[in-house]
Amino acid sequence: MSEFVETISRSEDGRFLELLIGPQHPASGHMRLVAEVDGDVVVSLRPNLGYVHRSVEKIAEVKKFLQIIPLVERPSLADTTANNLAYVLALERLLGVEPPPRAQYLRTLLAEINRIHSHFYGIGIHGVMIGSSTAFMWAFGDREPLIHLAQELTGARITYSYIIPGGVRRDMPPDFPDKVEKVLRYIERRLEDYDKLYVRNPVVRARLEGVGVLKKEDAIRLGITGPNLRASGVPYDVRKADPYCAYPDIDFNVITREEGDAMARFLVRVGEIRESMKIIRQVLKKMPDGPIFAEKYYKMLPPNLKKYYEETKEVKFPGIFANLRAPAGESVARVEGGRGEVVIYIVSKGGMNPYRFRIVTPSFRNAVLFEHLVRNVRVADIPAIYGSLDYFPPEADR
Amino acid sequence: MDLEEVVQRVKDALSDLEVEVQEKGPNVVEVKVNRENVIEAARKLKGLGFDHVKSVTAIDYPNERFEVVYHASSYSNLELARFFLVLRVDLPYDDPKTPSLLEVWPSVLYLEHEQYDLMGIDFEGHPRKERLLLPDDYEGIPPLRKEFKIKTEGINA
Amino acid sequence: MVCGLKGMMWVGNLEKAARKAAVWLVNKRPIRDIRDWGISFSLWPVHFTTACCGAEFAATSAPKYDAERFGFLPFVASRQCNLLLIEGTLTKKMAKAALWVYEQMPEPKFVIAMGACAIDGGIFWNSYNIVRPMDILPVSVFIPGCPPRPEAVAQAIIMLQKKIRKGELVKYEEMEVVK
Repeated sequence: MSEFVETISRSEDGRFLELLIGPQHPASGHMRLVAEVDGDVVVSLRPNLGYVHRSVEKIAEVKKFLQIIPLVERPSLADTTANNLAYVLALERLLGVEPPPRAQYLRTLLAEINRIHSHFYGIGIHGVMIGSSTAFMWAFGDREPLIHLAQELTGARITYSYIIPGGVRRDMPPDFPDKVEKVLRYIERRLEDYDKLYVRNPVVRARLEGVGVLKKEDAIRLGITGPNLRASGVPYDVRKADPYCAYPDIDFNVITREEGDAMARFLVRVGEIRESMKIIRQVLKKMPDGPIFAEKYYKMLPPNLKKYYEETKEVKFPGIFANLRAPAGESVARVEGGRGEVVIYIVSKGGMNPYRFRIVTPSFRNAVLFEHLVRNVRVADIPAIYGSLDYFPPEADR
Repeated sequence: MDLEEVVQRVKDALSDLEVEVQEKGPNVVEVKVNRENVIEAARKLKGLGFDHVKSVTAIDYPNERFEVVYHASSYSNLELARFFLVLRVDLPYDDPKTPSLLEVWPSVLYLEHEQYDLMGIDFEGHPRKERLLLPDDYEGIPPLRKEFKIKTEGINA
Repeated sequence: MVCGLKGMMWVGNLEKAARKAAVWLVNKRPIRDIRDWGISFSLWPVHFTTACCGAEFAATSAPKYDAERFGFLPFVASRQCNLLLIEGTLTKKMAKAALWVYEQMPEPKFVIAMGACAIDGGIFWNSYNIVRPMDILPVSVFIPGCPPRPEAVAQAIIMLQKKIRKGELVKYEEMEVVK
């Protein structure tokens, strides 16, 4: 505890200089870092959050249950499926609905596509921060084929709102598996290029190796989550620890590394991209036939929408669903998103809105790493560490 | 490890404290404790292997009580990681104070700070009493309380 | 008093007159057109991300959509930029920073408000912590969408360029020349 009390230590003789970084800075922005420097060495650093605090939790209390789906997606725009899925899982637990198997597989499919492009996003931003524009251009360029895939599946570029209580919004197009295979082959080829030009690049290694080392016991103690946790040697992944959707049937590995430095965090992301591709291939192979929408709600559709669903395999909710009431009670769900674990906790009093809505995002839980890792390092290491955390401020501030 | 075993372990560990342990859902163990015992209970639960906190939620029941809910789980014991441990503390409405669990679980640092900021719960012993997410010059009712009204839409506006 | 050219005295502030003449010249066609044409192809947005639309803004600058072909390249320092893109919601805390950044930018400067949140709050319209950018900044182009697609951002850039070329936005008269 004492380590947190005196994070900004004021020196008596004015030897230390307070350095304000942001909120307008060359990195991703949205936040201010208050660093105290002694020459070129950062003595301590505190993140100043709240620049993108938009009060999702308060707004959710006056929104209907279905209206909250797009709302929870907004905070983490690069990784929307995780929030969408976590919220719908929590809501389904409250409503007592079980989606059919095909919907479970489609959810898994979208979640993994999203995980890959979220990791590419993280790699790209990391590249900008350590001054490697090539990494940014490559990662953001390679993100586009995946976004295009998700767009074919859901109709939107990044804010999918694909997962709805009781199933998913539309079925996958018939030629989708071939397109996925094409993209996956492309990404596989590209990952080898990344290996040659980025992972084995001496400049990148010099910037990242041994920088910002997070020890295993500290990672556990501080409740870190996601790839940052696994890079410190903790094999915790919600997909394995508390499996949801189709993950129990799927064979994949949890990528961990022991070093805990910025390079390890980067390599865990690259490893997870490979694992996600494995998952996507299995999902497409094992995809069962059947409905994509729970029987319980299908019965409630009016005849014209039933006909529409049968013809196009797209679910359209009638207006009656706007007044979806959840029974009194509470439920909690967690999902492994690209950046880590999303926890959503809903307290309902039986009305049309949740009584209390709580969303804890991975970035918010990882924010403590700034003050923990950026201590007694050089000023030039701040972006290297910041980028390696894949920290997305709107997600942290909600 | 199944749920009953976890519940039994939690009950055994907290046997000398005044707590209420029950199972909620397929993987949720709920522990109700009053604020005098919360640090002691948390310490014992940490001894069981619940080593970090995932979420701290304060709930406002106007003119009745506040409730602080901790969701803890485990990283070091992967069998235990399947379960949520929910620690609930009731606080009187006119005196929303509870001891901070920072010395037991350092992972509550930002989570408790956020609830102090947005709900106005005073976590005693928490070193940070400034604004976290709200602007530094914010004054008035903490925004997540029910008496803080925002605009609504539709017929129930 | 009559005096020939030989004995004429120059009166007045020569520097001021020169400045006036320069302003007159750059506002005179065709110099003005050339000037506006040049400005429209060197838009430097400052690297200031206000909210989540930044993800799509980044995609706009990335290979597939490649905004650099419009002469549009994000740059680090606000003192060397002339375009402020409000990417999504502007919170109260961020609004102060946005104003500082805007004040630091040299003239002529433009503002694009991106996303539904930057128009009227969007999905966060009833949040207690937001500011509408048009209340505090002179916005030239709004981009609807939540988030707008990169194509929409590209279109906004083209619209802004057209507006600049029409001579609607760049005004040199009120400008104070810094020595």
